[in-house]
Amino acid sequence: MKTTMVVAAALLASQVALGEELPVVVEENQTVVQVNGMVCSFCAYGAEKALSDLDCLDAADFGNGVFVDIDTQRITLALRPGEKIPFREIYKRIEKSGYDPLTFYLRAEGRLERVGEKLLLTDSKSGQLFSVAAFDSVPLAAGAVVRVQAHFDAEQVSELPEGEAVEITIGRVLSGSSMTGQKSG
Amino acid sequence: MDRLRLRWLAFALLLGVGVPATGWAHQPVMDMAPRWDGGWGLQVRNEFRSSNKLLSGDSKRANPQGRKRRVNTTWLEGVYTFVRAVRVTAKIPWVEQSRVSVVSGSAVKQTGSGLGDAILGLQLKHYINREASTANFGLTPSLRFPTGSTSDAYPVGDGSWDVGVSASFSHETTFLYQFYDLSYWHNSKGKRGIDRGDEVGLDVNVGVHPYHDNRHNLGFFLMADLSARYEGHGEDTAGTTGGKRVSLGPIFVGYWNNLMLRFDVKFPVYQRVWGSQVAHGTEFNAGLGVVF
Repeated sequence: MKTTMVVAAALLASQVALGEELPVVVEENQTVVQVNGMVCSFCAYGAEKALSDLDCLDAADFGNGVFVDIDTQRITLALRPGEKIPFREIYKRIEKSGYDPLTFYLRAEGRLERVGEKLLLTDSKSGQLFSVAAFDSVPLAAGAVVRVQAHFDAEQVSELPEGEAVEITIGRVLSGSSMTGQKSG
Repeated sequence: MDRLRLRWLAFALLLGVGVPATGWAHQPVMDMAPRWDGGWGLQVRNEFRSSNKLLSGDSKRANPQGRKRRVNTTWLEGVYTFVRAVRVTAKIPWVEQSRVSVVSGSAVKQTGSGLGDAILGLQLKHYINREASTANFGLTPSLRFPTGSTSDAYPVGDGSWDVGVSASFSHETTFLYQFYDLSYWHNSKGKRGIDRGDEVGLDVNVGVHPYHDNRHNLGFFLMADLSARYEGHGEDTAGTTGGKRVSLGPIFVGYWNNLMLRFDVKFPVYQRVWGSQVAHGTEFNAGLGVVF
């Protein structure tokens, strides 16, 4: 009976854990990757090892610039200020570690510019170019100077040439002016 | 059950799984690691069992001649992962063993020691990664080489080339772990009259991952092990071999970064032998592994 109760409690705890979805918060000079299947630290050792020698990392953070969180199945990479994020390389290294990258989360700041059909955001610190494909909240207009948290489907970078702009969805506006001209953040 | 029927049963069960599956019972290091391309690992594992219980069928009988058996095997196990779906594994045993057998009506102590029969396996895996879980099906064909000597009174090898295959499935969340492995070994006729029966095995490990520390890459698993074995009627230098048994026991697996420590004990809960033999006994395992 006691054993049955312990097993039932374990199953319940597991289901609760599965049901939880914590919001992703990207700190300054970080990028976060949501990874499918990453549920054991020992097994994720290969991912941590493979990512830890990326040139863009700030090794002073997390001991080697990489933090693996199996509770949320997220990998946080601490970046050196002003470094471009090598999304494709990160994707490949995680995939070769036995896992499937799902979503990249990042921070970017700069002026939104309309070039042809595209709305572009060039990060003022790194010079990395992003194409804004969608907004989770209030749409922003060209000309707005913003600081945002954005995300995109990791699959997108698997075939994307390095340096090509990834198409991001702006999730949260941390500061800047919206289309209506109101200040936020 | 004769050998042919046993083989058909094993293959039917494997086909019944219906998907490419893995590993054999004691995979090097752990089922899930190293899962990264170019990853490799080593494990040293000690396996000890001893018994002076004499069985006839499944009944304990008097043992006036003091028949007993003690086997200590130290395995050096290695694994290399080419890509996520393909690993090669190698296991080399060092065996120290002794037994008291009845030869021409008298009790005789026999010993054997040295390199045992090495095993090479090719693990083919299919991973399924989900939002909060990972699973894999595996199929592992294996080959056992006659690297062990048959010259000792209690031979550490059997002198035969044996082939095996196993099918497995494992599933893991951050809290639960489960592993099922069905294996089959075809034991060929060896030297000095050693001719063991074929074996079918089932291993089930189910447990929890109650503690982990993301910051220090530290944690442990607690599991229960259920092992069942069926070994066909055979012969070795001391007489009849084979039978069937079921054992149960706890498993502890701890890890810190790329190091892994494993302890398990298998308590026999059911055993039936062909003819009259010394029981298998309680089995103690301790392993230390590292992955790179």
